[in-house]
Amino acid sequence: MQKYEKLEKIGEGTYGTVFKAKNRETHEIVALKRVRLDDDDEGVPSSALREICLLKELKHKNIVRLYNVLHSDKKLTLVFEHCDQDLKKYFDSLNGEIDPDIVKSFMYQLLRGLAFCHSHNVLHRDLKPQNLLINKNGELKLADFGLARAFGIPVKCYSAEVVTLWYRPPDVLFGAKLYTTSIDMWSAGCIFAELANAGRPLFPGSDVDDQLKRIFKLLGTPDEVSWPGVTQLPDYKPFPAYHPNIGFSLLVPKLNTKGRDLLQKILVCNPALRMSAEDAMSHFYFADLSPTIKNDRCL
Amino acid sequence: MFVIYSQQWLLDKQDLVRERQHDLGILTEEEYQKIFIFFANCKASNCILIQVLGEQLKLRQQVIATATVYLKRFYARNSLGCIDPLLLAPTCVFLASKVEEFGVISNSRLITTCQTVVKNKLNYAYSQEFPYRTNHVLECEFYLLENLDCCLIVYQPYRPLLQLLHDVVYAHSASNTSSPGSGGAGAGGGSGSGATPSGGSSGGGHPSPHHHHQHHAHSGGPGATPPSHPSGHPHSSHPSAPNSGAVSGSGGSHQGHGGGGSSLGNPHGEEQLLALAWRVANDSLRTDLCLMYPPYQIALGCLQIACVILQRDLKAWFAELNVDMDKIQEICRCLVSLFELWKSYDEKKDIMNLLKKMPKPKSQPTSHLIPVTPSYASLIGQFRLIAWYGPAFFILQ
Repeated sequence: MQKYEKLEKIGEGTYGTVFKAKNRETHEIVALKRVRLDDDDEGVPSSALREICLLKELKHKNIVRLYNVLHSDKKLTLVFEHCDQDLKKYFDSLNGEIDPDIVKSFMYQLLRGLAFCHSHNVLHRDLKPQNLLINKNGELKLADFGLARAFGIPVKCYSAEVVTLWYRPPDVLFGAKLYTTSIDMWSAGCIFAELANAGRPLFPGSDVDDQLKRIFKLLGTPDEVSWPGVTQLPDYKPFPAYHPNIGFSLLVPKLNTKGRDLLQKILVCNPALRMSAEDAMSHFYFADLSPTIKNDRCL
Repeated sequence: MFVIYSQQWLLDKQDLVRERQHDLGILTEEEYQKIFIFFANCKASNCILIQVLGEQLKLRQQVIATATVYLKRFYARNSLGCIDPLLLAPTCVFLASKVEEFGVISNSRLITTCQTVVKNKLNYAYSQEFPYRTNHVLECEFYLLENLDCCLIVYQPYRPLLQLLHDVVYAHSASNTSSPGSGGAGAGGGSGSGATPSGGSSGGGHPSPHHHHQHHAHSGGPGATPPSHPSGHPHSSHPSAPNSGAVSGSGGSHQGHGGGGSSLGNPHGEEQLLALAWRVANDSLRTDLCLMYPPYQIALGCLQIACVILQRDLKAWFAELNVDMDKIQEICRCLVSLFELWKSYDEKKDIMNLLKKMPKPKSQPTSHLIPVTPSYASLIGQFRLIAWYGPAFFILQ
């Protein structure tokens, strides 16, 4: 630990405190995530273990880099690349205005990080603005993989209660246990809309029912025709047959028609019909994306 | 087919020989192997540490397999005298259960289970009670993490095996040829259990490609059967022959890997082939194969062994694969020598002497201290940088 000089506390992560720190030799700024080991029945928390082993496999420009794991007696410290702020804080600084080019750039980078995770058999499962980090160069990085898992090995079901309610897809809200990469895509869609509205959340539900109601009011209540199998989901319950009357143009007024088209293809209740990250990246909304972003070397 | 694995943990034979030099000055190669069979897995006695712990804690086979690979990787780089395997084995189970998202086993429950197992099932090997406590496991977990270089995701041959079998079925349905010998002369495969080893005597039930009439009698234990496998027999398969080479596969309640297999159907006895290859894959965990070969190659080796035992001719199918067949032959030879070893190995008789002979940590935990070797002390004394290696991903076909 002598190697790093602690500068300030940045926040509390899923399983420990995060500090900003400086490498005494190289003067590089890093983020130190101290893993709490207070519950001695569990040992190293499984969320920390997952983050360690997954980030070890994922090296990409749009995924926060884990530089190092430090062992000292009874403590485990993860050394991450440091980013200036998260997307939530960035929103707070905006005062309701955002440059459409930034929306496009951030969304593209989010999709690119996600596509990389998915191609390496990793689900994030907890995407939200607080977990997206942003640095001064306008780069966006996925962080906080504490709930992520490798899905290369099929398991019967993942633990419930994994995604923050606002970014949770209807299939998970209905208790679906076997979800796939589509779970992350729904969250990405919600974040896209939130970006376009300079930080106003799309579906700020207060509980599961309210969350589903907000979704169906916008997208229409799904049925066996639009979503075969929906009524068989473990926690399914019928909702009034809402017919969407507010269009996307009212919902995300500042997003252009191409952007709205993309949003509509991602925010699909039926997970099987939700667009993948890979496909979303080649959507024509990104046709005029700045080539410096598009042609980034990512590895 | 998409196959991924971590290349960082693929060692070659020379590495292994070099790393084990110290231990092999004390133990013969065969004795060394037997010790690992004892700690990592099971054989005749139906109870070896990780396997039994897995059964007692009702773990999925995936957790057991991962824990076994952790154990093997640790001792591939460290002497047996570095940490007592009796402590490391439960620690591997503890870590694997978290990584595999099985749900955390409470440390105290782990210790209690270890105490029971050592007392009731391993009393032929240990005359004293299980000496470790939760604090030992926690410290050991740290040490294990560091030695594994935080590479915790382990890929197993099971999934590639399912994919390969699907491909076999597809190839069959495409060419519409039936294969000779699909009846599988007397092998226990399809019905899964292989209840009594034909050899009756200790160790006699292990398959040998040269004796295809033999039952393939030992299975890997809990959930050690492929997913398409009809449930129901595992229990009956158990120790019809006490102290014999009978199966340890007790767990109908444990699941293997979900998905995939059930759609396989049974068009040409492929289900039988899968069941047998699956068990050979379980057996592969008792060898060094998982340290030296990627999972899909091991899967191919297991499949080939199963083909020989069941007299299935998949030569044409193998020939079309874009793989290094020399590697597959090496894997097969390694498995065959394991089966040979089993024939002559009476664990209950041998293990106590072997354990006596095994290199030990300098301090035993009577003082409630983890056995600390100089290298450990120096490791935790300084903050060691862990080097990250790039992931290596390979695509087959």
